[in-house]
Amino acid sequence: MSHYTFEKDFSRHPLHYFILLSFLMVGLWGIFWFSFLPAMQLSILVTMSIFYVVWGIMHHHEHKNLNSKIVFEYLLIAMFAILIFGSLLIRT
Amino acid sequence: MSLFHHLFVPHHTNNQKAKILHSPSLAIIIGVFALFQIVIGHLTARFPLILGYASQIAPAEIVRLTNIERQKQGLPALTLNSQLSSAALKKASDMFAKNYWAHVSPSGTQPWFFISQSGYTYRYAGENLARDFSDPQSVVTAWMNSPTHKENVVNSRYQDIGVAVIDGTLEGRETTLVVQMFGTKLEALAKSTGQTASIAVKAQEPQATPIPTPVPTIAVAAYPEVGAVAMAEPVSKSLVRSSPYEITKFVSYGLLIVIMAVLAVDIVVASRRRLVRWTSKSFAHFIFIGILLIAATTILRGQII
Repeated sequence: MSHYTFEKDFSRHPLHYFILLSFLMVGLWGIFWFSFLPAMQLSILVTMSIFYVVWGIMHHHEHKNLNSKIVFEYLLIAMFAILIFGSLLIRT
Repeated sequence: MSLFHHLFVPHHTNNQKAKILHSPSLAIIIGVFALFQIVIGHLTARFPLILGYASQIAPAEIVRLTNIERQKQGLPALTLNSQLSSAALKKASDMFAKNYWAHVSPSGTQPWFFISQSGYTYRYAGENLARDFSDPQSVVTAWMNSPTHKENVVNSRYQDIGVAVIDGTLEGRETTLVVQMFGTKLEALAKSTGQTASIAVKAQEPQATPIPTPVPTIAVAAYPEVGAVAMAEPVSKSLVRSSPYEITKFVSYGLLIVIMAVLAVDIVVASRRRLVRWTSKSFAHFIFIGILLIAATTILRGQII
């Protein structure tokens, strides 16, 4: 098991964050592109959320500090995102 | 102040991570927000005048804004036509009655049927539809941002316009429908181009025996997407106190901004104190929530087809 400060984490795994940011930016572009198709927007957001959880698991697995508590935290953030976005779509 | 630190700043009392970012806190936030949405849905259904969807769309304003867009393109203004407005009203009523959101009804009735039924003998006709918008400018802007709808708005072949705005329940949701119909009368075109009367006779056939399909002699099919919005009944829901969308938007944006701010503080404090923690990555959360916040701003009130 290893622990890293934020700087070390970022400097040792810039590719991880680059992949994360790239995927999310592509997703964001998709959400913009389908601005008049709410179902498609929600599908993209759900895909982004699933990717985020997978990214978190992979990232912490690389760090060898993956545990259920951390997975749960990523799941909660993903659920939070889907809930917020979905609620806004439903209320439009 | 200590409670503030405990909730929002990495501190020894919260194991060097803002309490609001802990899993139980996030779970509570999610649960409360979900409950909040259930309550809003319930209140909207039970007390629509207290918590309902307010629409301030005036048909005349839709016509005015449409003509402004046409004038920008150097095109003549469209004339409000009561027959087209009547057709738009019938189309909107049909959508509510048969519970569909489309140009063609489930039974195959096309927009041109309503136009003919209203007594408007057309040479060219088109239809634009919108729902769930709260103001006329948003409706016209949405149409102008869509190439196919814009083609209708700034189509030089159209001379008349009709608009209808109606409230009702569509697909289980409180909805404001905007139907815009464009057209050019066959006789008007015949006058300007000197076409023979025989064409007009053919075009008038469907009026004598209305059927739910367009007359083959009418050249509407060439412009099936052309649309106009006609508002027959101005919608005024001034009694509605609050909109569920606005409340949800306010709370959602507030939550996202607060969590982003806490994450930003967490990143800075953890970096300065060189904290080593066995937890998820605040920087990744910050990126994800930030993207979500941007994405949320793209959600438009209303849909067009």
